[in-house]
Amino acid sequence: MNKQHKNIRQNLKSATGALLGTATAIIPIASAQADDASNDWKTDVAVLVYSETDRVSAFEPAISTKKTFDDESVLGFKFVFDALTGASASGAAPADSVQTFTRPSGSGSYETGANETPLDDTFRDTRVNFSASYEAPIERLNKMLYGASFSKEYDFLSLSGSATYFQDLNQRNTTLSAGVALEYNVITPVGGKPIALSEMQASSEAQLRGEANDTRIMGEILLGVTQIIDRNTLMQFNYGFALSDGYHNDAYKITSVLTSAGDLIPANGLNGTYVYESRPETRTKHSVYGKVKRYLSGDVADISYRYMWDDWEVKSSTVDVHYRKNFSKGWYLEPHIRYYTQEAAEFYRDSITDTQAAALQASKGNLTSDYRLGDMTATTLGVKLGFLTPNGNKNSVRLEIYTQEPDLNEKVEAVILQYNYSF
Amino acid sequence: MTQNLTIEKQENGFIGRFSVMASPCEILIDVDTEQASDYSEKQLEATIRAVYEEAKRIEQKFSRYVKGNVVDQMNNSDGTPLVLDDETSRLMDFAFQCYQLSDGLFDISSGVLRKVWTFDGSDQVPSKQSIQPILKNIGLNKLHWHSPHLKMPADMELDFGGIGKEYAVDCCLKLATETIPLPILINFGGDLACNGPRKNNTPWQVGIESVGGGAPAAIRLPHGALATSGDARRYLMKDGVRYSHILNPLTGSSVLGAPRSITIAAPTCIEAGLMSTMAMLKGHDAAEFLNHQDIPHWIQD
Repeated sequence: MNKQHKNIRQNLKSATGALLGTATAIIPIASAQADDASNDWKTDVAVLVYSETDRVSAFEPAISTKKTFDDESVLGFKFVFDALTGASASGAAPADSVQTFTRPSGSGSYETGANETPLDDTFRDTRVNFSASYEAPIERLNKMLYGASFSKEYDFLSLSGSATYFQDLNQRNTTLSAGVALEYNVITPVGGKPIALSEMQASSEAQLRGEANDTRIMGEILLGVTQIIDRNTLMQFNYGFALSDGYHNDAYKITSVLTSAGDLIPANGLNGTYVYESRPETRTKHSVYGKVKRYLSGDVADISYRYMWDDWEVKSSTVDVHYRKNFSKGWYLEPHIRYYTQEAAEFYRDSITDTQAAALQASKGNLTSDYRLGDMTATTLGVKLGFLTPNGNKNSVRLEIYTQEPDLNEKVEAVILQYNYSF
Repeated sequence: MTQNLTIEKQENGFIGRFSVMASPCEILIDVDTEQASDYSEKQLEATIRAVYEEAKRIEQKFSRYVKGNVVDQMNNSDGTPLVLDDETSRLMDFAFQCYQLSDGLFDISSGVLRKVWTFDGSDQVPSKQSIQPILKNIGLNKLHWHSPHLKMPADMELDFGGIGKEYAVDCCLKLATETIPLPILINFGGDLACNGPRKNNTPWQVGIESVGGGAPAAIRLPHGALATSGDARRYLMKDGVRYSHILNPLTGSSVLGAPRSITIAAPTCIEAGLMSTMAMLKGHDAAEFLNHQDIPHWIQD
């Protein structure tokens, strides 16, 4: 006999809210975390597959584990491995004839057919990331969260650390947070650091390269407020300010230099002229973020909005909506929509003319054709299915379709598939 | 009236002990009594006394044994309309919501079944014929309730006993926390709630007693409440069948196959209490029901 049991927990919660007439700490995840005396490690394993049509594909297994101790402190570790293969847009513009490009290493070349978006097909990388976090209560109403992370790719190293202070106020209905983060990167481009705005040379020639590597340092301040509005509603606001200083270029991105009629200019042993990009040495970023989460008779809906702006004049908006429909036996279905729109950096150009190139080189100006700094919109449509295995452990499968539409470049479509298992 | 109350000062806090609603009650205030505190001993003792008074007030107001209180008025209204006070109206609303959520299984009008069921450990199981005539006097749907107006048919009776103790725990904890924001745990006969972790940030340690051969459990409770429902001592035994004191108000019969005890953790004591009672009412399906609630629970069978 298999009877259907409905989940009445949220309804009972709202009924209690009306009876006791307080909104004291009902939503926080920490409420009633009664636990057996066993302090086991809780572990999540996940595998993510990301695949762009004809371009990059990634395979990313991850494992994370955490443990809560008797004094309510929480220690966590996470390890992520990434394997990326495929081709990525170099920044050069499509042309009506075949184009030849020198590989980043300086030896060897690849060709792009007429009217095709030039893709650097040597994009291949593996990344390992290890991070640790420690949450330490101070007194009853405040705590610290510390984080540290190490990430290594073939041409990139990142070290970072963060510390955040949380304070509960107003009978735990309000939480304030303030955090600082520091990150240090070492960039070691394949074949050395191209001289900014210098022209790409044929693979038979010597390339114009500077030092083997360069560094970048970033500091960030994050302020947040989380407020319980009523028994079923939670709101969150964050403000972030980030400053970074150092090498910001993507060493593999180039810009096509064309005649004023838009034709290729053969030079340096190639049938076109291409200059390496040049970004400013500093970047100042601001972001504001707001989120509302609401329980709707057993289901959970949340909507968030983020606005980011920086002194490169990149401005972006992100709207993210989730709706989690809970079913019996721990099953749930969670549709997800994300919409992203971005305004280009003020030094973004799809291509430039030879006169503009000469002026930029003389003034040591800034230039990029990296689509990630151009005008674009991106949409993610996804759905996540959660279920329990017979032993009661949680599983989820997430499928998302990502569509990126840069203003002038080719549309990119990707499929993301993730499986997660918690025990 | 306060001779019932004792206050004990210990190294790590104050304990108030008293008895209300036929249960041993405790209030624990976690404070280092060796060191200077923001609150004087007088304040702490006054808070304990206020908690005791509040528990007593709720007992006097909602016990069906007290003559002349609001429950007595309702049960003797003989069909005449009544206007209920604010607090009673909120409890009525809550009882109605629980009635709906449980599809009629949780019903504060089911107390009249006591006329045929006496749980004394004997084998006196009432017959279907004796239960049948009582069922027409059970069912909250037979009441006319439009807050604060109540009209209850004669021969029906309400009993807040299934909610009262848990409600008192939540009210007392709220009262105490508003007076002194120190770590406090309130325990009325095993139904308990705390206002957060203890002073050194460790969770409260709560033991669940072993019932019918089940293993005792230690629960770490950093926030929120625990409540337990069970039939450890109140049952009938006939032909090897255990008839629990949990009665199904729709059939008037004892719920068979329910676990000996169910303990629930929830943000408030009343939520925990209702959830454990509703699970008991599911009998054989109690565990299955709880698995659908995504709520921490401990079952003793």
